[in-house]
This record gives sequence, C-alpha cells and structure tokens, in this order.
Amino acid sequence: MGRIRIITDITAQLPPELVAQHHITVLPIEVRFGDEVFLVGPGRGPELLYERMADGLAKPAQINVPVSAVQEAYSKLNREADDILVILSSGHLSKSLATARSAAQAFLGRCRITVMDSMSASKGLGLLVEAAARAAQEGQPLDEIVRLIRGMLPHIYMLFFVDRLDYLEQGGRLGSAQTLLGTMLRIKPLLLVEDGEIIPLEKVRTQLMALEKLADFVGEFASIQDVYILHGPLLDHDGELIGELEDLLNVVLPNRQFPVIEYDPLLACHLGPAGLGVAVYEGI
Amino acid sequence: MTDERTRSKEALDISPRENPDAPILLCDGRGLKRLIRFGLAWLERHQEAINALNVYPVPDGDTGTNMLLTMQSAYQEIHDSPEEEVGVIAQKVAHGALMGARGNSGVILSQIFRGFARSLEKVQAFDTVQFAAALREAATTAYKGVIKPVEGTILTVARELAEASVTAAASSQDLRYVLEHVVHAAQESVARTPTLLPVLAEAGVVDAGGQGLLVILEGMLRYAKGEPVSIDSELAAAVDLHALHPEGEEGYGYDIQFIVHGEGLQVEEIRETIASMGDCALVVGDSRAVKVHVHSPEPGTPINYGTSLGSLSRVIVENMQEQYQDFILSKAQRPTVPAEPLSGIGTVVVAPGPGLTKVFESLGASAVVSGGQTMNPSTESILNAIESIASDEVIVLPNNKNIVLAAQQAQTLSAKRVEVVRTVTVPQGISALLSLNYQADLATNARVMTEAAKVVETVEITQAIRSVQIDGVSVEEGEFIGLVNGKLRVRGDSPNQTTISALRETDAKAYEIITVYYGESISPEEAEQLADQIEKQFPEQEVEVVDGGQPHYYYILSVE
Repeated sequence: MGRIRIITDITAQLPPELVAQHHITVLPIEVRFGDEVFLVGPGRGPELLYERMADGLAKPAQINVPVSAVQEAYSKLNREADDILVILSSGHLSKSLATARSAAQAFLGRCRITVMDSMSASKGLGLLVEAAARAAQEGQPLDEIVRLIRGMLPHIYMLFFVDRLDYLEQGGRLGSAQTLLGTMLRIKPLLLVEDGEIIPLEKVRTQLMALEKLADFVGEFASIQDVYILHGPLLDHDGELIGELEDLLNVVLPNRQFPVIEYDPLLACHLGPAGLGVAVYEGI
Repeated sequence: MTDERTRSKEALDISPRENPDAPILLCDGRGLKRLIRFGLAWLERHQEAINALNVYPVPDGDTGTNMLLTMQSAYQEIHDSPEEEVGVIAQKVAHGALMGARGNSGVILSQIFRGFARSLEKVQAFDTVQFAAALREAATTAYKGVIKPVEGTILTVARELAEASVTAAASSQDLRYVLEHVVHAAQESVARTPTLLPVLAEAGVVDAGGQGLLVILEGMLRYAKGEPVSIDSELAAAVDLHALHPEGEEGYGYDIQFIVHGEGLQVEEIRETIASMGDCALVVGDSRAVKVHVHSPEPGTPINYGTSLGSLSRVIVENMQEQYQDFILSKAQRPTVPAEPLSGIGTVVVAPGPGLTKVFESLGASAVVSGGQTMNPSTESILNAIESIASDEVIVLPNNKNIVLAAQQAQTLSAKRVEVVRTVTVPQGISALLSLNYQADLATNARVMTEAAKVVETVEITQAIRSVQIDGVSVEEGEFIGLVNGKLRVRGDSPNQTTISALRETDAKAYEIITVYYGESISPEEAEQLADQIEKQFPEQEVEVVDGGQPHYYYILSVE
C-alpha cells in the first residue's frame, strides 16, 4: 500500500487548515474574462476579477488550471507519492480537467495519476476532496477512495437562483431574446448543478419566491448531512437576502447551522457574481 | 323531412305545398341539413343580439359570434354532401362543430351535436321518438362535457327542451309539432335562467348561450313551418368559396380523413400503421369506429388500408395547398422552435397581441395560438398547435376563461398526452409558464403550474360596452372599468386613473413586482406615465412596463 496525494484547484474552497493537515495540493486557476486573464490561487484572491464583473455586462469566460502548475505539481508529488488523485470541477464547466488529463500523459509509467471529474463544482467539489483526503489519511487504498467518491457524487446537490441573465446568455444557457425580455420581466431562473452541468429549472419573478424555492428544495430531502448557503461575491452587501434565506431554511430544517460561503470564480463566471443558492450533501 | 317540399332541389325555396299542414313524419339526412342551414341563418341574424347578452360589460368572447362560428364549421361539413342517412349527416355536423368550436358556448353546442349524433347512429331517418331520444342524449352529453355544470345556462335549456320533446313525442308523430313544443320549452327555459343564475339577474340579462340555442331551434322551426329566413349573402359566399377546391399543386400532399366502421378494431395497431403512412397522424376511436386523420402524399394508401379494416365513412381528401394558404392567411398559430430543447414537454399558449406573443415565446412556449378576448380560437386551432410541436407531452395554457373548454376539447381530441392548466388571465399564464420545470414530469408540472397561476393577481383595464350594475359597481357605457382577478371592481374617467384605483383593490403593497402590459391603443409614453404614477403610489414595489399589443384592453397588469 502506497502513499496517496490529492490535487485539486482553488475552486474547491478548502479551508487552509484542512489543506495543511492532509497535504492537499491546491492548484491556481486562470480565468479568462473577456480580453483579460486573471490568475487566482492560494494567496492571490479574485478581487480584481470581481471588480471587472461589477463594472459591466458578462463577457465570454473560460477557466483552466495553468499547464505549468499542473506539471510542477505532478513532478513534485511523483517523488513523494505512489498514487496521485486529481479531483477537479466538472469538465463541462472548466477546461481544468482536460488540462490535468493531458498533462498526466507525460508521467505515464512513472507514477499512477488518477484524474476524476467531480461532476460538481465549488463547495460540492470541496466536500468530495475533503472526503478523499480523510480516506487517504486513514490509509485506504486508491480503489476504495475512488469508489467512495463515486458513491458520494449522486448525493451532492446545488441549486441557485440568479437575477442577472447576461451570464447565462454568455454561457449559452439562455437565448438573447429570452435574456432581453427576461431581464425586463425581472425573471430569476433556478439552476441546478446536475451531472456536471448547470441546468435551468423553473423561473420565478420575485426574490421571495426564489428564496422559497430554495427552502422547498432543501425541505424535500429525507435526510441531510450538510447544508451550505453559497452566494456570489457581489450579492447583497447588507446580508438581508441571506438572512431571509436562513430564516426560511430554519423553518424546514430547525436547529441547524448553515455555513455561509462566498462561491468561487468558476461559479461567478457561469452564474454571474450575484447568485444565491444552497449546496446539500445527503450523506451516505 | 320527407314531406313534399324536402324533395325540391333548392331547400331554401319554400315552394307552395298542396297541404302545408300535413304532418312531417320523418327527417332524413337532407332534411337535417336544411334544418341546420336554417338554424345557422337564424343564428346569424341574431348574432349581435346574443353578443349583447354578455354578463360583464367587457369586450369579451362574444357568445353569439362564437356559436355562429361553431355552427358555420358544422354546416361546412355537410353543405355539399348528398348523404341521405340522417345518422351520417348528424355525425358530420358533430364533427364540424367539434373542430370549429369556439368559446365555452361553442364547445357546449358541439357537445350537444355530438350526443344528438351518437343517438342517431345508423338511423336512416328519424321520427319524433328518435328525435326526442337524440335531444335527450344531446343534453346528457353536454352535461358530461363540463366538469362543473352550472344551472341557468345553455345546459339547463338543453335539458328542459329535451324533456319537453319526450312528452311531445309521446303524443304526436308530427315532427313539426314536437319542434314547436321544443322551441316553446326552450323559450321558457331561457326566460328562467336569471332565476337560476344570480349573476344573470344582477346584470339583467338571460343566458346568452341558452338564447343562442333557442335561436338555432327557432330557425329550424321556421323551416318546418315553411317560413323563410334571409340567408346573408356574405355567409353564402363564404360557404361557396370553401366548396371550391383549387387545382392541386404538388408538394403539400393531401389531408385525408375518414372513419372506419367495423368489429373489434385495434385502435393502437391502426394508429401505428397510419402513422407510418404519413405525418400528423391522428387516430381515435373504439373497437367499432375509428377516426383517422393523416397527411400523406399518397391518399390511396391510408384509404385502401382503411377499406381492409371495415367500411369507411366521412372520407375527406383535401389538398393541403388550400389549407396551407388558409394557415398563412389566418396566422392563427405560430409554431416556434422550442427555446429550451431540454424538455420533453411542449407548451401551447393562447396570447392576444404581438407583444404578449413575444413574451410567451421568449419564456419558452413551443407554440402560441393568437386569441383572447373577443377572439376565442377554435378547438381545431388549439389542436393543430398541439399537434404541430415536437413533444408528445403538451401543456396548454388557455389564459382566458372562455377558452378553457375549447382547450379541454383539443385535449380529448389529441393522441398526445395533454394537460390543460386552467389559466384564465395572461398574467396567470406567464406565471404558470415560468414555473415549467424541465426536469419534472407532465403531471407534476401541471400541478406546479396550477399553483403558480394562483400566486399572481391580475388587473385588466377596458371600456364598458354597455351600462350595467354588477358586482356592486354601476357603470355607464363607454366608461373605463377595472377588473381585479376577473371581477369588476372600479370605474374611472381615464385608463391610467382607473388602473391606479384598480391596483388599490389588490394586495399590491404586499407584493414585489407590478408589471404593466400595455395594449395596442396605448403609446409607450402613456404607459411610462402610468408607470410613474404607479411608482408614486407604490414606492416599495418594482414597476415594469412591457409592450403587450393586446386589443380592447388598455392595460393588463400583474401583481406578484
């Protein structure tokens, strides 16, 4: 049984103490937003990107891990681990997965590198990485860890609503006519992260109804291990909306804490910087 | 009717008879055809009078017009048919009425014909007893067609005249005598409708649908008594035009319809076979009779197949070029590319006005049927929209209370799985369509959409088309009136001022968004002025202004 090291990227939003404890390698990401490229990584926040987002309309966006950073991580871990497990955001939402896979080719025969699609993003990805890291710490073999992660995948749910439609239009999730009239009508689509994609569900017109939909969604689970509130970096500076969501969640799920997390640049690029939603882990 | 004059070639010439009082013992297919024609002509003459019986003083789906269009569609099915069997003519009438049914009264009228036809199946010519039995079946079928039958409407009239016909038929073999009693009973029944339905009494009118049925029967009686009715030349021209089939052009194929009669017919099997022969296959029926409707470049194939199963009736082969032109002219239905291909569920919505059509399209409606107040689309145009979209599961949003029944008729006629979500205003329809969840199944969506329709309040601003006192509000003809959730609540001197008063009648202050859809007679500037006024009155609420383009209604507002 060999030593297993885990790689993910900054969008997993892992707490620094967890990263240190489990020797997790956290890759930076490059965010191409319009004509500009922003590097976001450990010790390098996304503030500049968010300033651009605050300035105007959505722009074409692409997220990737820098090839050099992946290669460097592989080279380093190659020496200290027998197995490298790479868990990244859904391949539908970023190019990181493809980059990590092609970079692994060069290490064929020298080191076992397993690249897994989390089929999720943000906190959902983070939950998977955390579970993998704990299992590795306990000394479980790679196969078991991969099985564990695959088993967890269908039990992680994320639902959001957004009130800006231009990011959905940029991402090809709404037509331009829909965006125009939808914006006039203040339409707020609900979006589910499922099978690695962001899928539009129903739409509502008022914030209250959107919040109620989120609470109803959480209320429908028979058992729940964790619920997180995820919000965009530019949402709701006075916290009023988040407070209302907490109140509604307390009704469907009393006596619980709902950690509030600002979601990562990847979700900001897909949902826009002002979405609000929940991540639910049922437990297995 | 097999007295002397029915044998004359032109039915509308009431030729002098040797004995005008001789009893009429039987009525065959040709006789029924003329009865229908006289009923139609008499109805046309009274169309406006029936329209004026609207309970609400709003430009609404006019009952007289709706019943007339339904009757016209019924008559077009038979006007050039030489058929002598009355059962077959009755079937054709029922089919024509069904497909052309507009508005609730038209749909109920089509049900009346359906029951009438069912009772006369295989009958060569009916006598008084068979006539009475058919009227009874007509009333029963009409009641069944409505989920919650309301007394004091056309239903009551249909039932009471049927009861009278049974009594009359027991004492006479003369159809004319029975028809006289039927008309008399219908008159009394119509006169009683305000005592059964308080809203009629309040408005000081009798039930318009009941009156329409009475007028049709009166026209028939006039024929039986040899009294002329003037046939509007325009109508005659329209009917004749329809009879002219233009020379076929290749490329559009044929529209083939027939009914197979036989024993132990396998509907599923027939449906599959027919579907393989062409497009837009519609196969409905039971083990004894199956209605087939298919578009095919080769009309012989489905017809030959039908002949192999049993005897055919009501064979109609039409060149679709003609229908295509009708379609282009009417633009009744605008199938669009589904904006959200993720869903297997299609949506058909009814929308008045180009702006509202755009709104519904942008929200992902698969097909928009134009229609609404005063322009209720027919069952057939809703059915066509259902059939035109790519999904096998369809949700229909009628968005008007007078279109709900036609939508439900289209539902029963379609081979697809169809749910009608009973939205009765445009804002309800928008709210329902938004809540369509592409991940959920048909039944769940229908339930969720019904719920979503309830959370929005609707304000409609129009002009009173007559003076009336209703819902405790007294209005003069020409005054501006505001309806809140379909009830007349306020009146005013200008559309904008009336809107503000109507909004005060809602719970607007408790909601987030007020949306103004302005009609075709309102300029964008006027709409913006209204929005400013609303914002002053309701500073907490967001106000949005959208070009609705609807006729008759200055403004439609949603509060949610």
